Amino acid sequence: MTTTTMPEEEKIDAEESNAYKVTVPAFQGPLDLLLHLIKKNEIDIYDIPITLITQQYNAYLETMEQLDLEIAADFVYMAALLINIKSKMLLPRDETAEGIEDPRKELVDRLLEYQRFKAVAETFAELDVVRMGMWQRPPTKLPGTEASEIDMSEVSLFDLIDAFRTALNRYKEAHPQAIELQRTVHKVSEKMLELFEKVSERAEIRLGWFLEGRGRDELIALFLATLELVRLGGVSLKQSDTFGEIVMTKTENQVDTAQFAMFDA
Amino acid sequence: MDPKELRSAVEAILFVATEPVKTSDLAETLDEKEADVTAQLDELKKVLDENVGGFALEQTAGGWRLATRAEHDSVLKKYFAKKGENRLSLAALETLAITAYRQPVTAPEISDIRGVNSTGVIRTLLERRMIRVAGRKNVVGAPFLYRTTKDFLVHFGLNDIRDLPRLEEFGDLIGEAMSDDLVAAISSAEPTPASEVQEISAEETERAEAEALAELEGLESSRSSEQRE
Repeated sequence: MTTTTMPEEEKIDAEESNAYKVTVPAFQGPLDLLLHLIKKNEIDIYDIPITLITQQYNAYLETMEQLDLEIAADFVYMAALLINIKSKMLLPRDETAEGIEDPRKELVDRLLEYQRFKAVAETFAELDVVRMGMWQRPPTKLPGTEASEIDMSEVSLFDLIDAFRTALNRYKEAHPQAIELQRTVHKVSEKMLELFEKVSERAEIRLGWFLEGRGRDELIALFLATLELVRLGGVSLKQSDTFGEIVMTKTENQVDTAQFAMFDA
Repeated sequence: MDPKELRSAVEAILFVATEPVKTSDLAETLDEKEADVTAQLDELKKVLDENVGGFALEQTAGGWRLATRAEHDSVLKKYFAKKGENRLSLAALETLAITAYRQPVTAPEISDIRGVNSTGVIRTLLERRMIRVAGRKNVVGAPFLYRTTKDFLVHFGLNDIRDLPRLEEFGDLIGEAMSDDLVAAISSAEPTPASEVQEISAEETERAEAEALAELEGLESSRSSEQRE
């Protein structure tokens, strides 16, 4: 280790498990790292010794590199900015001339601004913990309000993705280390047909129920099939409220099931 | 309705409601004066607090809601087999803080203040419905403008966005001796002038969000080869 700028946790990581690729950066960004250095060196933020800070900043980047951490472009950009400021500091300045600013001023202003928001974020973090512990009644269907009476709002793409994601997660949890011996190929056209037949037969299907117990590949095929069917206008998706269950119904439109085959890429 | 009757009717509505209920809506439904409803809400809150039961009444996002007391979190998690914390990351909280104080704000403005590309975090916050697309800024590239949502207020227990403490109240910082005019400059920094904002209607929000997501994804993938949030 050539430097002492590493936070405790990461040092342990580096010593114990050099073999691992550490991917989580210890700092939120270059400004965060600079604030850390300023605090550590007990520096007056209005009079930053640029040479010292640049040195320590670059040492940190080097260590990141040694640890095989991915260095974000933003970090590299800041290194360049520091060198730029450093070189400007070396130029003789006419202290009496008006309108010439300390080359560090802009950086200091940015640091102070970021520091404020970082403090807000810390307060938010405390609130987050407390408020997460306060549960509210989840959205439910009220008794006596049949699906047809509810003002069904449009289903957003988020909600549709959420529905499939929930099913995917459920599948993942139920099948921890599944070893697939034989792979069933799920065709989009087959899934379109399956969905379309089911929705024709039952007038409406609840997506959550329909997706229950399906495998990953099948869910993906079903997701694509759902999108294609909606696009063809054969079915429509409705949802009673935000996060509510998505219901698929058949529309009046005639759909030629023979053309489903063309959706298999 | 006599006060006791009114209070129990209010309680019944709150018990079933899944979102904060406005005092005005309660007054209208019950055909009572708002002041009387407010009095009973205060009374109900007092009763629940004195009882220290499973839940409490709180005022949030411009309405009232019943929510469980925080100390029951672990029991509820166990009973409902809820996994994971799902807490917001520090990056998300920073982004949320900037959005809350600077709204409406664009993705580049957020990235600029944080000093790192923040498109990935903005995406997460959009998906968690903590922020929303509020329109476009009338500058080159017409970037999307973001605002915090009602869900944000509920999540952080704020009744109104104006309830946020003033930015300069966040003390314990390096350079505490900063001049007053700098504090003022930071806390009141150039809110986007109205002339530069093109707000959109609620109906357009969904489409705009899909567009914003696509845009963020594009920004992310074009940069992902060199960096990752």
